[in-house]
Amino acid sequence: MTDNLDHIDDYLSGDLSAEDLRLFDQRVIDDPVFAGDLAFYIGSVNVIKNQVNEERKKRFRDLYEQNKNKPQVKPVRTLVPYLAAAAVIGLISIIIFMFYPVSSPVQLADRYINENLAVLGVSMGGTQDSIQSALRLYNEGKLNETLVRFEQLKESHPSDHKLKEYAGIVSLRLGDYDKALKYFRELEAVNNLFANPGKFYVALTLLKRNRSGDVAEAKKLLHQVTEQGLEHDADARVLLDKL
Amino acid sequence: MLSYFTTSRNSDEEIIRKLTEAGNNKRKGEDELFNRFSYFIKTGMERFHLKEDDSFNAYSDTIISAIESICSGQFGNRSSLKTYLFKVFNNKCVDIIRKNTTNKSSVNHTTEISDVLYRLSDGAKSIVQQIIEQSDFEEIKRKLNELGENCRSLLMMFAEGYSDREISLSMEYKSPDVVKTSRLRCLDKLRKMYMQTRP
Repeated sequence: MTDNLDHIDDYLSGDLSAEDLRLFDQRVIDDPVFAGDLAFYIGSVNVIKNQVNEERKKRFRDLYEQNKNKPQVKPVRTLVPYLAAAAVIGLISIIIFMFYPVSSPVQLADRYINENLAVLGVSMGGTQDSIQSALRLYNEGKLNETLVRFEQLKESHPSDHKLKEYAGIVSLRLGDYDKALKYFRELEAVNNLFANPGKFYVALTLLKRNRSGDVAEAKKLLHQVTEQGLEHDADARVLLDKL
Repeated sequence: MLSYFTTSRNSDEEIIRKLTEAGNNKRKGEDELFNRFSYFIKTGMERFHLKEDDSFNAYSDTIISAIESICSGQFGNRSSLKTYLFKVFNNKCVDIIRKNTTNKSSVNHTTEISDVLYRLSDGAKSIVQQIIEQSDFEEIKRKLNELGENCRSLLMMFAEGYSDREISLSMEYKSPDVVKTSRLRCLDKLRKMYMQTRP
């Protein structure tokens, strides 16, 4: 039994090779005792996790009840500090504008990714649960797992072009720029979409990858995005202003 | 200018540091994180028209998810805690609205389990899911409370996302390998206790 658990523990830790994973899968199908052990392991860890979270929630409830009738401690906001801060920022901006080059392409791409792609929105529409579940993993930072999910979903739903965008974004966040470009170019090639962000994402990835010729190519694509009014044209304009 | 900074709020780094420590410090970090952005609950009520309880649940789930993300090192160098939490909170509010309108009360539980099984083929996954559906989770919970204190604490820490190395330091085990062996023995013990109650 503990041997089974040991093996299961390795599976859940992601320590199995592709071949071991295949054998593991086959064993689940062939060996009911092993499948039962796996189900128990997952079920019981889930029970324990829920218990930990229930205890946390009880504590949070107490904190909330204790504090909710107290006057909210909010930072005191007066105009003077804001004006002072604005003056300092203004001065620094002028100095930077006059004496230093604007942000590097990689910094610009990083800033865009951090501000816009660190968390992906959950749709309220009829999107499939499997996609919602993958987005939830993404938002929790489990990027490798998310990529596997989106790649599987992409295989099984080749006509769902949104999956190309998601797979590209995850690859970009993982730093696999060649793969990200492959997915975004696939998306860019789809010509029957109402709004296609493919070209913009290809440009963004090129800025981030920053190999020889990448920035020039990215600029060319960003100009096309703004001139043709494609998806994210406003973002493209901002990036071009700063490049 | 100082007045803007006069509240005793800890910086993001300070909270993150506490959350990655064990024991009381971690608990303090969790409570500070909860208190710091608890005004989101009111925002959920105003912006999404959620009931107070629903907004509280969305916020608590957001904090729990952030704690897990920070403890497992997956938070990384995201923007600020506030920006990250607010986006997650928005998503949780949307989830609650969807759940309320579609009556999908068990959606979270199901997706959590399928998250773990994603590497399996559809055939293997369906076998395991069927066994899990037949499990008596309430009985497992009862047996967990009957398990010795050491085993219970060990399994709770593991479920909280601590690595075997962190557990070995916190609970004074000789090595991460000893933690792993003890953890699996505890799980085996729990399973035997549970199986005795099964027909």
